[in-house]
Amino acid sequence: MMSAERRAPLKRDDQQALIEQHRATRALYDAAMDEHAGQLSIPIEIGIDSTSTAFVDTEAYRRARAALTTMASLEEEYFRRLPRMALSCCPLCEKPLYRAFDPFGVDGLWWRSDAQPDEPPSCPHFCVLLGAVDLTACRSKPDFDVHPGPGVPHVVPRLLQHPGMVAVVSQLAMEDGAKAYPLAYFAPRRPPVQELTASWARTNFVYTTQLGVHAWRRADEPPLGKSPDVWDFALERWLADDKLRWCEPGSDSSRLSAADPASCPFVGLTGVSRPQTVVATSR
Amino acid sequence: MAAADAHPDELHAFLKMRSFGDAWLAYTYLDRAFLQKKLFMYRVGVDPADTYANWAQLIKEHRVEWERERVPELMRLRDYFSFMQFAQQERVIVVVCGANPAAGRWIGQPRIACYGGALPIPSRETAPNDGLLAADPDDARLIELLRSYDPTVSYESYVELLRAHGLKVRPANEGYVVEDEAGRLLHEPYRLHGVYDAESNETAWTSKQGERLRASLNRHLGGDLVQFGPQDNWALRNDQRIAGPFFGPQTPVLVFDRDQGIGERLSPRKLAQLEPYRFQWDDLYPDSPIAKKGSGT
Repeated sequence: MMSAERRAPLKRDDQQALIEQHRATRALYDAAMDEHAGQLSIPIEIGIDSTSTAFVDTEAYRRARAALTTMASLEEEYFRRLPRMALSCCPLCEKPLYRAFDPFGVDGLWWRSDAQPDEPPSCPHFCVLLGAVDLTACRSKPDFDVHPGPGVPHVVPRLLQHPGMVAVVSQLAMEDGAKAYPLAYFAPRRPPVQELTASWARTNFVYTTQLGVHAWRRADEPPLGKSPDVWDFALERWLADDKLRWCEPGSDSSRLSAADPASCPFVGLTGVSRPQTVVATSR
Repeated sequence: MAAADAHPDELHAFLKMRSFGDAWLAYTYLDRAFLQKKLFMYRVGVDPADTYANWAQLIKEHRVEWERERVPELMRLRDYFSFMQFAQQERVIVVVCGANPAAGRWIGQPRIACYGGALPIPSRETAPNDGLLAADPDDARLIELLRSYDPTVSYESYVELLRAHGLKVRPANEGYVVEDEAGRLLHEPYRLHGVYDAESNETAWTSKQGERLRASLNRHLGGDLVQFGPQDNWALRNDQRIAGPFFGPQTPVLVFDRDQGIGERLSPRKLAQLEPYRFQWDDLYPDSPIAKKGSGT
Protein backbone atom coordinates (compact mmCIF):
# COMPACT_ATOMS: atom_id res chain seq x y z
CA MET A 1 0.00 0.00 0.00
CA MET A 2 1.21 3.51 -0.81
CA SER A 3 2.34 5.53 2.20
CA ALA A 4 0.54 8.76 3.10
CA GLU A 5 3.71 10.73 2.29
CA ARG A 6 3.72 9.37 -1.26
CA ARG A 7 0.15 10.50 -1.79
CA ALA A 8 0.40 14.00 -0.32
CA PRO A 9 0.90 16.99 -2.64
CA LEU A 10 4.55 17.75 -3.29
CA LYS A 11 6.53 20.27 -1.32
CA ARG A 12 9.89 21.66 -2.41
CA ASP A 13 11.83 19.03 -0.44
CA ASP A 14 9.77 16.18 -1.95
CA GLN A 15 10.23 17.64 -5.41
CA GLN A 16 13.99 17.87 -4.92
CA ALA A 17 14.15 14.33 -3.54
CA LEU A 18 12.22 12.94 -6.51
CA ILE A 19 14.39 14.84 -8.99
CA GLU A 20 17.54 13.59 -7.30
CA GLN A 21 16.28 10.00 -7.36
CA HIS A 22 15.26 10.38 -11.00
CA ARG A 23 18.68 11.75 -11.91
CA ALA A 24 20.50 8.92 -10.16
CA THR A 25 18.25 6.27 -11.71
CA ARG A 26 18.69 7.72 -15.17
CA ALA A 27 22.47 7.61 -14.72
CA LEU A 28 22.17 3.96 -13.70
CA TYR A 29 20.01 3.19 -16.73
CA ASP A 30 22.42 4.95 -19.07
CA ALA A 31 25.43 3.11 -17.75
CA ALA A 32 23.66 -0.26 -17.82
CA MET A 33 22.38 0.20 -21.40
CA ASP A 34 25.88 1.17 -22.57
CA GLU A 35 27.33 -1.85 -20.78
CA HIS A 36 24.74 -4.22 -22.29
CA ALA A 37 25.25 -2.90 -25.82
CA GLY A 38 29.00 -3.06 -25.31
CA GLN A 39 28.80 -6.79 -24.57
CA LEU A 40 27.02 -7.58 -27.84
CA SER A 41 29.56 -6.39 -30.41
CA ILE A 42 27.56 -5.83 -33.63
CA PRO A 43 24.66 -8.30 -33.74
CA ILE A 44 22.59 -8.62 -36.92
CA GLU A 45 19.45 -9.31 -34.91
CA ILE A 46 18.60 -8.33 -31.38
CA GLY A 47 15.96 -9.24 -28.86
CA ILE A 48 14.75 -7.74 -25.62
CA ASP A 49 13.28 -10.80 -23.91
CA SER A 50 13.33 -14.57 -24.07
CA THR A 51 10.54 -14.76 -26.67
CA SER A 52 13.17 -13.75 -29.23
CA THR A 53 15.86 -16.20 -30.32
CA ALA A 54 18.24 -13.27 -30.58
CA PHE A 55 17.84 -12.30 -26.93
CA VAL A 56 21.07 -12.10 -24.97
CA ASP A 57 20.39 -11.89 -21.26
CA THR A 58 23.03 -9.86 -19.48
CA GLU A 59 23.18 -8.72 -15.90
CA ALA A 60 23.57 -5.16 -17.18
CA TYR A 61 20.36 -5.39 -19.19
CA ARG A 62 18.46 -6.63 -16.13
CA ARG A 63 19.76 -3.62 -14.23
CA ALA A 64 18.72 -1.33 -17.08
CA ARG A 65 15.17 -2.73 -17.16
CA ALA A 66 14.83 -2.32 -13.41
CA ALA A 67 16.07 1.28 -13.59
CA LEU A 68 13.63 2.03 -16.41
CA THR A 69 10.73 0.80 -14.31
CA THR A 70 11.90 2.91 -11.38
CA MET A 71 12.19 6.01 -13.57
CA ALA A 72 8.64 5.53 -14.85
CA SER A 73 7.27 5.15 -11.33
CA LEU A 74 9.16 8.24 -10.08
CA GLU A 75 7.72 10.26 -12.94
CA GLU A 76 4.24 8.90 -12.22
CA GLU A 77 4.57 9.86 -8.55
CA TYR A 78 5.88 13.33 -9.39
CA PHE A 79 3.02 14.17 -11.74
CA ARG A 80 0.38 12.63 -9.47
CA ARG A 81 1.55 14.64 -6.46
CA LEU A 82 2.15 17.88 -8.37
CA PRO A 83 0.03 20.72 -6.93
CA ARG A 84 -3.12 21.63 -8.83
CA MET A 85 -3.26 25.34 -8.18
CA ALA A 86 -5.29 28.34 -9.25
CA LEU A 87 -3.21 30.01 -11.94
CA SER A 88 -5.85 32.29 -13.39
CA CYS A 89 -9.51 33.20 -13.40
CA CYS A 90 -12.02 33.13 -16.24
CA PRO A 91 -13.20 36.64 -17.13
CA LEU A 92 -16.48 35.19 -18.49
CA CYS A 93 -17.67 32.95 -15.64
CA GLU A 94 -15.20 34.00 -12.91
CA LYS A 95 -14.29 30.39 -12.22
CA PRO A 96 -10.67 29.92 -11.12
CA LEU A 97 -8.46 28.02 -13.54
CA TYR A 98 -6.78 25.13 -11.72
CA ARG A 99 -3.80 23.52 -13.48
CA ALA A 100 -1.04 21.12 -12.56
CA PHE A 101 2.02 23.26 -11.99
CA ASP A 102 5.48 23.02 -10.45
CA PRO A 103 5.95 26.23 -8.44
CA PHE A 104 9.11 24.97 -6.77
CA GLY A 105 11.64 25.34 -9.56
CA VAL A 106 12.17 25.02 -13.30
CA ASP A 107 14.15 21.85 -12.60
CA GLY A 108 10.86 20.00 -11.98
CA LEU A 109 9.63 17.54 -14.62
CA TRP A 110 6.58 19.77 -15.29
CA TRP A 111 8.99 22.04 -17.11
CA ARG A 112 10.04 19.32 -19.57
CA SER A 113 9.01 20.07 -23.15
CA ASP A 114 7.12 16.74 -23.37
CA ALA A 115 5.32 16.86 -19.99
CA GLN A 116 1.61 16.11 -20.14
CA PRO A 117 0.16 15.94 -16.62
CA ASP A 118 -3.46 15.04 -15.92
CA GLU A 119 -5.35 18.29 -15.52
CA PRO A 120 -8.39 19.12 -13.39
CA PRO A 121 -11.48 20.11 -15.39
CA SER A 122 -11.55 23.72 -16.57
CA CYS A 123 -14.47 26.01 -17.39
CA PRO A 124 -15.72 25.72 -20.99
CA HIS A 125 -14.15 29.04 -21.90
CA PHE A 126 -10.55 28.10 -21.22
CA CYS A 127 -8.51 27.84 -24.42
CA VAL A 128 -4.81 27.69 -23.67
CA LEU A 129 -2.27 28.52 -20.95
CA LEU A 130 0.87 30.35 -22.03
CA GLY A 131 3.40 32.07 -19.82
CA ALA A 132 6.61 33.92 -19.17
CA VAL A 133 9.28 33.52 -16.52
CA ASP A 134 11.69 36.10 -15.14
CA LEU A 135 14.79 34.00 -14.57
CA THR A 136 16.96 36.77 -13.15
CA ALA A 137 17.10 35.27 -9.64
CA CYS A 138 16.46 31.64 -10.65
CA ARG A 139 18.69 29.11 -8.87
CA SER A 140 17.47 25.87 -10.51
CA LYS A 141 19.78 23.73 -12.62
CA PRO A 142 17.56 21.39 -14.62
CA ASP A 143 18.67 18.10 -16.17
CA PHE A 144 16.93 19.03 -19.43
CA ASP A 145 16.49 22.14 -21.57
CA VAL A 146 13.56 24.25 -20.37
CA HIS A 147 11.60 26.58 -22.66
CA PRO A 148 9.75 28.90 -20.25
CA GLY A 149 8.86 31.61 -22.80
CA PRO A 150 10.10 35.19 -22.55
CA GLY A 151 10.96 36.96 -19.31
CA VAL A 152 8.01 39.34 -19.11
CA PRO A 153 4.24 39.15 -19.75
CA HIS A 154 3.04 39.51 -23.34
CA VAL A 155 0.07 38.68 -25.53
CA VAL A 156 -0.26 36.80 -28.82
CA PRO A 157 -2.32 39.13 -31.05
CA ARG A 158 -3.39 36.29 -33.37
CA LEU A 159 -5.14 34.53 -30.50
CA LEU A 160 -6.80 37.75 -29.33
CA GLN A 161 -8.26 38.27 -32.82
CA HIS A 162 -10.67 35.42 -32.13
CA PRO A 163 -14.15 36.79 -31.21
CA GLY A 164 -14.42 37.52 -27.51
CA MET A 165 -10.98 36.10 -26.64
CA VAL A 166 -9.49 37.62 -23.49
CA ALA A 167 -6.08 36.97 -21.94
CA VAL A 168 -5.53 37.00 -18.18
CA VAL A 169 -2.10 37.56 -16.68
CA SER A 170 -1.11 36.64 -13.15
CA GLN A 171 2.10 36.30 -11.17
CA LEU A 172 3.61 33.63 -9.02
CA ALA A 173 6.83 33.71 -7.01
CA MET A 174 8.58 30.38 -7.50
CA GLU A 175 10.60 28.84 -4.71
CA ASP A 176 13.79 28.75 -6.78
CA GLY A 177 13.77 32.54 -7.09
CA ALA A 178 12.16 32.71 -10.54
CA LYS A 179 9.05 34.80 -11.10
CA ALA A 180 6.39 33.10 -13.22
CA TYR A 181 3.68 34.89 -15.21
CA PRO A 182 0.85 32.56 -16.27
CA LEU A 183 -1.06 33.93 -19.29
CA ALA A 184 -4.39 32.18 -19.80
CA TYR A 185 -6.71 32.69 -22.77
CA PHE A 186 -10.49 32.45 -22.49
CA ALA A 187 -13.26 32.84 -25.09
CA PRO A 188 -17.05 32.53 -25.10
CA ARG A 189 -16.63 29.89 -27.84
CA ARG A 190 -13.35 28.08 -28.19
CA PRO A 191 -11.82 28.52 -31.65
CA PRO A 192 -11.10 25.39 -33.72
CA VAL A 193 -8.33 23.61 -31.85
CA GLN A 194 -5.88 23.89 -34.75
CA GLU A 195 -6.03 27.70 -34.34
CA LEU A 196 -4.56 27.47 -30.83
CA THR A 197 -0.92 26.90 -29.95
CA ALA A 198 1.38 24.85 -27.70
CA SER A 199 0.93 25.30 -23.97
CA TRP A 200 3.43 26.98 -21.69
CA ALA A 201 6.88 25.35 -21.67
CA ARG A 202 5.90 22.79 -24.34
CA THR A 203 7.63 22.62 -27.71
CA ASN A 204 4.95 20.61 -29.50
CA PHE A 205 1.28 21.37 -30.00
CA VAL A 206 -0.53 18.06 -30.52
CA TYR A 207 -4.22 18.31 -31.36
CA THR A 208 -7.17 16.43 -32.79
CA THR A 209 -9.52 18.40 -35.01
CA GLN A 210 -13.30 18.09 -35.04
CA LEU A 211 -12.92 15.99 -38.18
CA GLY A 212 -10.74 13.57 -36.25
CA VAL A 213 -7.43 14.54 -37.83
CA HIS A 214 -4.55 13.96 -35.41
CA ALA A 215 -1.77 16.47 -36.01
CA TRP A 216 0.99 18.47 -34.36
CA ARG A 217 3.02 21.61 -34.96
CA ARG A 218 6.08 23.04 -33.30
CA ALA A 219 5.33 25.76 -30.76
CA ASP A 220 6.86 28.35 -33.08
CA GLU A 221 4.97 27.23 -36.19
CA PRO A 222 1.74 29.04 -37.07
CA PRO A 223 -1.39 27.27 -38.31
CA LEU A 224 -1.27 26.44 -42.02
CA GLY A 225 -1.54 29.58 -44.12
CA LYS A 226 -0.98 32.00 -41.23
CA SER A 227 2.05 34.16 -40.42
CA PRO A 228 4.31 33.22 -37.51
CA ASP A 229 3.02 34.35 -34.14
CA VAL A 230 4.46 37.53 -32.65
CA TRP A 231 4.62 38.44 -28.99
CA ASP A 232 3.34 41.90 -28.10
CA PHE A 233 4.82 43.28 -24.88
CA ALA A 234 3.03 46.63 -25.12
CA LEU A 235 0.06 45.69 -22.98
CA GLU A 236 -1.67 49.07 -22.66
CA ARG A 237 -3.66 48.80 -25.88
CA TRP A 238 -4.95 45.34 -24.99
CA LEU A 239 -5.94 46.49 -21.50
CA ALA A 240 -7.76 49.49 -22.96
CA ASP A 241 -9.63 47.21 -25.37
CA ASP A 242 -10.65 44.84 -22.53
CA LYS A 243 -8.71 42.05 -24.25
CA LEU A 244 -6.37 41.70 -21.28
CA ARG A 245 -7.26 41.32 -17.59
CA TRP A 246 -5.13 40.43 -14.60
CA CYS A 247 -5.05 38.88 -11.14
CA GLU A 248 -3.30 40.95 -8.50
CA PRO A 249 0.30 39.86 -7.83
CA GLY A 250 0.56 38.35 -4.37
CA SER A 251 -3.04 37.08 -4.52
CA ASP A 252 -3.87 33.40 -5.03
CA SER A 253 -4.81 34.16 -8.68
CA SER A 254 -8.34 32.87 -8.22
CA ARG A 255 -9.96 36.30 -8.69
CA LEU A 256 -9.64 39.00 -11.32
CA SER A 257 -8.57 42.45 -10.33
CA ALA A 258 -11.32 45.05 -10.50
CA ALA A 259 -8.84 47.92 -10.62
CA ASP A 260 -8.64 50.45 -13.41
CA PRO A 261 -6.62 49.20 -16.45
CA ALA A 262 -4.36 52.22 -16.08
CA SER A 263 -3.12 50.76 -12.79
CA CYS A 264 -2.26 47.31 -14.16
CA PRO A 265 0.97 46.26 -12.41
CA PHE A 266 2.14 44.22 -15.42
CA VAL A 267 2.58 47.21 -17.71
CA GLY A 268 6.09 48.43 -18.36
CA LEU A 269 7.96 45.48 -16.84
CA THR A 270 11.42 45.15 -18.30
CA GLY A 271 13.07 41.84 -19.09
CA VAL A 272 13.91 39.34 -21.80
CA SER A 273 11.50 39.72 -24.71
CA ARG A 274 12.54 36.70 -26.78
CA PRO A 275 12.26 32.94 -26.21
CA GLN A 276 14.51 31.84 -23.35
CA THR A 277 16.12 28.45 -22.84
CA VAL A 278 17.34 27.24 -19.48
CA VAL A 279 20.14 24.99 -20.62
CA ALA A 280 20.43 21.49 -19.18
CA THR A 281 23.23 21.15 -16.68
CA SER A 282 25.87 18.56 -17.57
CA ARG A 283 26.47 16.28 -14.60
CA MET B 1 32.74 -5.07 -45.97
CA ALA B 2 31.37 -6.08 -49.37
CA ALA B 3 31.86 -2.57 -50.68
CA ALA B 4 35.53 -2.97 -49.74
CA ASP B 5 35.59 -6.28 -51.69
CA ALA B 6 35.74 -8.60 -48.69
CA HIS B 7 35.69 -12.27 -49.69
CA PRO B 8 32.29 -14.00 -49.16
CA ASP B 9 33.77 -16.39 -46.60
CA GLU B 10 34.85 -13.38 -44.50
CA LEU B 11 31.31 -12.01 -44.74
CA HIS B 12 29.90 -15.36 -43.76
CA ALA B 13 32.22 -15.69 -40.76
CA PHE B 14 31.34 -12.16 -39.64
CA LEU B 15 27.61 -12.81 -39.86
CA LYS B 16 27.80 -16.26 -38.23
CA MET B 17 29.51 -14.69 -35.25
CA ARG B 18 26.58 -12.29 -34.82
CA SER B 19 23.67 -14.62 -35.57
CA PHE B 20 23.30 -16.37 -32.21
CA GLY B 21 23.71 -19.80 -33.86
CA ASP B 22 20.80 -19.20 -36.25
CA ALA B 23 22.27 -19.74 -39.74
CA TRP B 24 19.11 -18.48 -41.42
CA LEU B 25 19.62 -15.02 -39.95
CA ALA B 26 22.88 -14.74 -41.88
CA TYR B 27 21.29 -15.93 -45.16
CA THR B 28 18.30 -13.63 -44.73
CA TYR B 29 20.63 -10.74 -44.06
CA LEU B 30 22.69 -11.51 -47.18
CA ASP B 31 19.57 -11.78 -49.34
CA ARG B 32 18.30 -8.43 -48.13
CA ALA B 33 21.61 -6.62 -48.18
CA PHE B 34 22.48 -7.72 -51.71
CA LEU B 35 18.95 -7.48 -53.11
CA GLN B 36 18.46 -11.20 -53.80
CA LYS B 37 15.53 -13.47 -53.08
CA LYS B 38 16.38 -16.58 -51.07
CA LEU B 39 19.49 -17.32 -53.11
CA PHE B 40 22.11 -17.22 -50.39
CA MET B 41 22.49 -20.67 -48.82
CA TYR B 42 25.19 -23.02 -47.70
CA ARG B 43 24.73 -26.56 -49.02
CA VAL B 44 26.17 -29.46 -47.07
CA GLY B 45 28.31 -31.67 -49.31
CA VAL B 46 29.11 -28.90 -51.78
CA ASP B 47 32.66 -27.63 -51.96
CA PRO B 48 32.70 -24.39 -49.90
CA ALA B 49 34.81 -22.77 -52.62
CA ASP B 50 31.95 -23.32 -55.11
CA THR B 51 29.41 -21.91 -52.65
CA TYR B 52 31.48 -18.80 -52.07
CA ALA B 53 32.10 -18.38 -55.80
CA ASN B 54 28.32 -18.47 -56.28
CA TRP B 55 27.86 -15.94 -53.48
CA ALA B 56 30.44 -13.65 -55.06
CA GLN B 57 28.36 -13.66 -58.24
CA LEU B 58 25.18 -12.87 -56.29
CA ILE B 59 26.89 -10.00 -54.50
CA LYS B 60 28.22 -8.62 -57.76
CA GLU B 61 24.93 -8.91 -59.64
CA HIS B 62 23.19 -5.89 -58.07
CA ARG B 63 26.26 -4.05 -56.86
CA VAL B 64 25.33 -0.75 -58.50
CA GLU B 65 21.94 -0.76 -56.74
CA TRP B 66 23.04 -1.92 -53.26
CA GLU B 67 25.98 0.43 -53.21
CA ARG B 68 23.63 3.32 -53.92
CA GLU B 69 21.08 2.41 -51.26
CA ARG B 70 21.16 4.41 -48.05
CA VAL B 71 20.69 1.86 -45.32
CA PRO B 72 18.91 3.35 -42.32
CA GLU B 73 20.72 3.10 -39.00
CA LEU B 74 20.27 4.47 -35.52
CA MET B 75 22.81 6.61 -33.71
CA ARG B 76 23.74 3.95 -31.12
CA LEU B 77 23.40 0.19 -30.86
CA ARG B 78 21.60 0.57 -27.51
CA ASP B 79 18.92 2.68 -29.22
CA TYR B 80 17.69 -0.42 -31.12
CA PHE B 81 16.84 -1.89 -27.72
CA SER B 82 15.15 1.32 -26.65
CA PHE B 83 12.92 1.52 -29.73
CA MET B 84 12.13 -2.18 -29.38
CA GLN B 85 11.24 -1.83 -25.69
CA PHE B 86 9.08 1.18 -26.47
CA ALA B 87 7.22 -0.59 -29.30
CA GLN B 88 6.59 -3.62 -27.10
CA GLN B 89 5.55 -1.68 -24.00
CA GLU B 90 3.29 0.79 -25.80
CA ARG B 91 1.99 -1.83 -28.28
CA VAL B 92 2.84 0.29 -31.27
CA ILE B 93 4.59 0.11 -34.61
CA VAL B 94 7.33 2.76 -34.73
CA VAL B 95 8.70 4.06 -38.01
CA VAL B 96 11.86 6.12 -37.50
CA CYS B 97 14.05 7.87 -40.06
CA GLY B 98 17.61 6.70 -40.45
CA ALA B 99 20.17 8.69 -38.46
CA ASN B 100 23.92 9.18 -38.52
CA PRO B 101 25.70 6.52 -36.40
CA ALA B 102 28.65 8.90 -36.04
CA ALA B 103 26.41 11.05 -33.82
CA GLY B 104 26.14 8.32 -31.20
CA ARG B 105 29.43 9.13 -29.51
CA TRP B 106 28.34 12.73 -28.89
CA ILE B 107 25.08 11.93 -27.09
CA GLY B 108 25.15 13.10 -23.48
CA GLN B 109 28.64 14.59 -23.72
CA PRO B 110 29.37 17.90 -21.94
CA ARG B 111 28.85 21.00 -24.09
CA ILE B 112 26.92 18.97 -26.66
CA ALA B 113 23.14 19.12 -27.13
CA CYS B 114 20.49 17.42 -29.22
CA TYR B 115 19.14 19.92 -31.75
CA GLY B 116 15.48 20.67 -31.19
CA GLY B 117 14.96 23.46 -33.69
CA ALA B 118 13.05 23.55 -36.92
CA LEU B 119 15.83 24.21 -39.41
CA PRO B 120 17.26 21.34 -41.43
CA ILE B 121 21.02 21.05 -40.78
CA PRO B 122 23.03 18.09 -42.15
CA SER B 123 24.84 15.82 -39.73
CA ARG B 124 28.53 15.63 -40.72
CA GLU B 125 29.54 12.23 -42.07
CA THR B 126 33.25 12.98 -42.40
CA ALA B 127 35.95 14.31 -40.10
CA PRO B 128 36.47 16.74 -38.51
CA ASN B 129 33.64 16.49 -36.01
CA ASP B 130 31.65 13.81 -37.85
CA GLY B 131 28.29 13.25 -36.19
CA LEU B 132 27.79 16.92 -35.37
CA LEU B 133 25.48 19.26 -37.25
CA ALA B 134 27.36 21.35 -39.75
CA ALA B 135 26.70 23.88 -42.48
CA ASP B 136 29.54 22.98 -44.82
CA PRO B 137 29.05 24.93 -48.07
CA ASP B 138 30.70 22.08 -50.01
CA ASP B 139 28.44 19.37 -48.56
CA ALA B 140 26.35 18.04 -51.46
CA ARG B 141 23.49 17.32 -49.04
CA LEU B 142 23.36 20.95 -47.94
CA ILE B 143 23.44 22.16 -51.53
CA GLU B 144 20.53 19.84 -52.34
CA LEU B 145 18.72 20.92 -49.16
CA LEU B 146 18.91 24.59 -50.12
CA ARG B 147 17.59 23.76 -53.58
CA SER B 148 14.59 21.97 -52.09
CA TYR B 149 13.07 25.24 -50.91
CA ASP B 150 10.69 27.13 -53.14
CA PRO B 151 12.23 29.58 -53.94
CA THR B 152 15.73 28.14 -53.46
CA VAL B 153 17.86 29.56 -50.64
CA SER B 154 21.46 30.80 -51.01
CA TYR B 155 24.15 29.62 -48.58
CA GLU B 156 24.53 33.16 -47.24
CA SER B 157 20.78 33.43 -46.58
CA TYR B 158 20.88 30.03 -44.89
CA VAL B 159 23.66 31.12 -42.53
CA GLU B 160 21.67 34.28 -41.81
CA LEU B 161 18.60 32.14 -41.08
CA LEU B 162 20.64 30.03 -38.68
CA ARG B 163 21.82 33.21 -36.97
CA ALA B 164 18.24 34.45 -36.65
CA HIS B 165 17.49 31.17 -34.82
CA GLY B 166 20.38 31.74 -32.42
CA LEU B 167 22.82 29.42 -34.22
CA LYS B 168 26.37 30.17 -35.33
CA VAL B 169 28.52 28.40 -37.92
CA ARG B 170 32.09 27.75 -36.81
CA PRO B 171 35.00 28.11 -39.27
CA ALA B 172 36.15 25.64 -41.91
CA ASN B 173 38.95 24.16 -39.76
CA GLU B 174 36.24 23.01 -37.33
CA GLY B 175 34.20 21.51 -40.14
CA TYR B 176 31.61 24.33 -40.20
CA VAL B 177 29.91 22.82 -37.14
CA VAL B 178 26.96 24.72 -35.76
CA GLU B 179 26.70 25.93 -32.16
CA ASP B 180 23.69 27.19 -30.23
CA GLU B 181 23.33 30.35 -28.16
CA ALA B 182 24.83 28.61 -25.14
CA GLY B 183 27.93 27.68 -27.18
CA ARG B 184 26.96 24.00 -27.31
CA LEU B 185 27.67 21.95 -30.42
CA LEU B 186 24.73 19.97 -31.71
CA HIS B 187 23.90 16.47 -32.86
CA GLU B 188 20.74 15.48 -34.68
CA PRO B 189 17.56 14.24 -32.95
CA TYR B 190 15.65 11.13 -34.00
CA ARG B 191 12.94 11.95 -36.51
CA LEU B 192 9.89 9.78 -36.09
CA HIS B 193 8.04 9.02 -39.30
CA GLY B 194 4.98 7.39 -37.80
CA VAL B 195 3.75 5.72 -34.64
CA TYR B 196 0.77 3.39 -35.03
CA ASP B 197 -1.34 1.27 -32.75
CA ALA B 198 -0.24 -2.30 -33.43
CA GLU B 199 -3.82 -3.64 -33.25
CA SER B 200 -5.80 -1.05 -35.17
CA ASN B 201 -3.06 0.45 -37.38
CA GLU B 202 -4.48 3.86 -36.42
CA THR B 203 -2.06 6.62 -35.51
CA ALA B 204 -1.11 6.53 -31.85
CA TRP B 205 -0.05 10.20 -31.93
CA THR B 206 -3.31 11.69 -30.66
CA SER B 207 -3.75 14.83 -28.56
CA LYS B 208 -4.14 12.62 -25.49
CA GLN B 209 -1.27 10.23 -26.17
CA GLY B 210 1.27 11.99 -28.42
CA GLU B 211 3.36 13.81 -25.86
CA ARG B 212 3.02 10.98 -23.36
CA LEU B 213 4.50 8.67 -26.00
CA ARG B 214 7.31 11.11 -26.71
CA ALA B 215 8.16 11.28 -23.01
CA SER B 216 8.06 7.49 -22.80
CA LEU B 217 10.34 7.06 -25.82
CA ASN B 218 12.80 9.62 -24.45
CA ARG B 219 12.82 7.72 -21.17
CA HIS B 220 13.68 4.50 -23.03
CA LEU B 221 16.41 6.34 -24.95
CA GLY B 222 17.82 7.79 -21.73
CA GLY B 223 17.75 11.36 -23.06
CA ASP B 224 15.69 13.84 -25.05
CA LEU B 225 16.53 12.45 -28.47
CA VAL B 226 12.99 12.76 -29.83
CA GLN B 227 12.13 16.42 -29.98
CA PHE B 228 9.02 16.38 -32.15
CA GLY B 229 6.07 14.31 -33.29
CA PRO B 230 6.07 12.01 -36.32
CA GLN B 231 6.30 13.21 -39.90
CA ASP B 232 2.97 11.55 -40.75
CA ASN B 233 1.16 13.83 -38.29
CA TRP B 234 3.10 17.03 -38.87
CA ALA B 235 0.53 19.57 -40.02
CA LEU B 236 2.96 21.24 -42.44
CA ARG B 237 4.47 18.12 -44.06
CA ASN B 238 2.80 18.74 -47.41
CA ASP B 239 3.63 22.44 -47.67
CA GLN B 240 6.86 22.51 -49.65
CA ARG B 241 7.41 26.22 -49.03
CA ILE B 242 7.63 25.63 -45.28
CA ALA B 243 8.75 22.01 -45.10
CA GLY B 244 11.61 22.34 -47.62
CA PRO B 245 13.63 19.11 -47.42
CA PHE B 246 11.14 17.70 -44.90
CA PHE B 247 8.36 17.85 -47.53
CA GLY B 248 6.55 14.55 -47.99
CA PRO B 249 7.75 11.07 -46.97
CA GLN B 250 11.27 10.80 -45.54
CA THR B 251 12.85 7.45 -46.36
CA PRO B 252 14.91 5.42 -45.61
CA VAL B 253 13.32 4.35 -42.35
CA LEU B 254 13.53 1.60 -39.78
CA VAL B 255 10.34 -0.11 -38.63
CA PHE B 256 10.00 -1.57 -35.14
CA ASP B 257 7.01 -3.77 -34.40
CA ARG B 258 5.76 -4.81 -30.99
CA ASP B 259 7.01 -8.38 -31.42
CA GLN B 260 10.69 -7.43 -31.51
CA GLY B 261 10.81 -7.31 -35.29
CA ILE B 262 12.96 -4.73 -37.06
CA GLY B 263 12.60 -4.00 -40.76
CA GLU B 264 13.58 -1.28 -43.14
CA ARG B 265 11.85 0.64 -45.90
CA LEU B 266 14.28 2.26 -48.27
CA SER B 267 11.85 4.08 -50.55
CA PRO B 268 8.44 5.79 -50.28
CA ARG B 269 7.03 3.07 -52.54
CA LYS B 270 8.09 0.39 -50.06
CA LEU B 271 6.91 2.45 -47.10
CA ALA B 272 3.49 2.88 -48.70
CA GLN B 273 3.12 -0.92 -48.66
CA LEU B 274 3.58 -1.12 -44.88
CA GLU B 275 0.30 -2.10 -43.19
CA PRO B 276 -0.52 1.18 -41.40
CA TYR B 277 0.08 3.16 -44.60
CA ARG B 278 -1.57 0.92 -47.13
CA PHE B 279 -5.04 2.43 -46.95
CA GLN B 280 -4.17 6.01 -46.10
CA TRP B 281 -1.08 6.83 -48.12
CA ASP B 282 -2.96 9.17 -50.46
CA ASP B 283 -4.41 11.06 -47.51
CA LEU B 284 -1.05 11.34 -45.78
CA TYR B 285 0.98 12.26 -48.84
CA PRO B 286 -1.31 13.45 -51.64
CA ASP B 287 1.61 15.03 -53.52
CA SER B 288 3.68 11.88 -53.44
CA PRO B 289 4.37 10.39 -56.91
CA ILE B 290 3.07 7.07 -55.64
CA ALA B 291 -0.34 8.50 -55.04
CA LYS B 292 -0.48 9.98 -58.52
CA LYS B 293 1.11 7.24 -60.61
CA GLY B 294 0.61 4.14 -58.53
CA SER B 295 4.32 3.49 -58.66
CA GLY B 296 7.57 5.32 -58.18
CA THR B 297 10.43 5.50 -55.82
